Amino acid sequence: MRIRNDSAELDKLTQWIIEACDAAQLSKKTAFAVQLCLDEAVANILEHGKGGARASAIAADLECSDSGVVLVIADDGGPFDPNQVAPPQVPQAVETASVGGRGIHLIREFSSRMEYARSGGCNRLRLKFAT
Amino acid sequence: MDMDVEEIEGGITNVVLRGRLDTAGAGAIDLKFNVIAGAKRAVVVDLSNVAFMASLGIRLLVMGAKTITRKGGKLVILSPDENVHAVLKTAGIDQLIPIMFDRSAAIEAVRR
Repeated sequence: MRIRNDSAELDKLTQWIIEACDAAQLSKKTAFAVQLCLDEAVANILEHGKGGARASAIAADLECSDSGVVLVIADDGGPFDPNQVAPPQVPQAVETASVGGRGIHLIREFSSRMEYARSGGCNRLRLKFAT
Repeated sequence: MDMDVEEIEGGITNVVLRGRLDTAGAGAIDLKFNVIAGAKRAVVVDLSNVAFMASLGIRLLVMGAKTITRKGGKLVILSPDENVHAVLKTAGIDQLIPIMFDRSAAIEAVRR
């Protein structure tokens, strides 16, 4: 699946991942985790692409086998390694809590393994899920 | 993503969200939700018809709760489904915004 880096394309991506999870007969919990991580990763690409190194396209692929479920997300924007993002501060009160910055934390918690690679001018995020 | 707003007794506002509160869904309702948060002081946000939530949905709820708390009011989340509740807990939102599963208790909590 490949979309332009444009929020107007998100519905197409959402439709694709829902159908791919259904086709693979993933459990409700695993399908939710896969869809959550895709949404977070793509939201980051849209957000971080607002500078000079904006991605032109986002590609996603879902591989399901006996060894597990793997979601791969690639984009041609500037380097962005989620491993370098510090865990969010634990919020104490709503008045002082940050409104954002939770996406990478959710990806780490809802996937079983996160691998990042930069090659050929592209970011490639590989996420594994327990089934 | 749909959002219905209903005024119930005692100046309490019930906001019913329906659909996927993902990046696209949050973008579709953020203006309308922010207007409610800016105008109201006692808000119950019913998530029982929200099947999916990601961090931009969380951002919407935290921003709304901040706006309402600043005025001395209260926002409570009502009846998230199991997966949505797991996202809220993982993000630490249950420490910031009360999450309740009983409508009467939620109404009582914002009334105070």
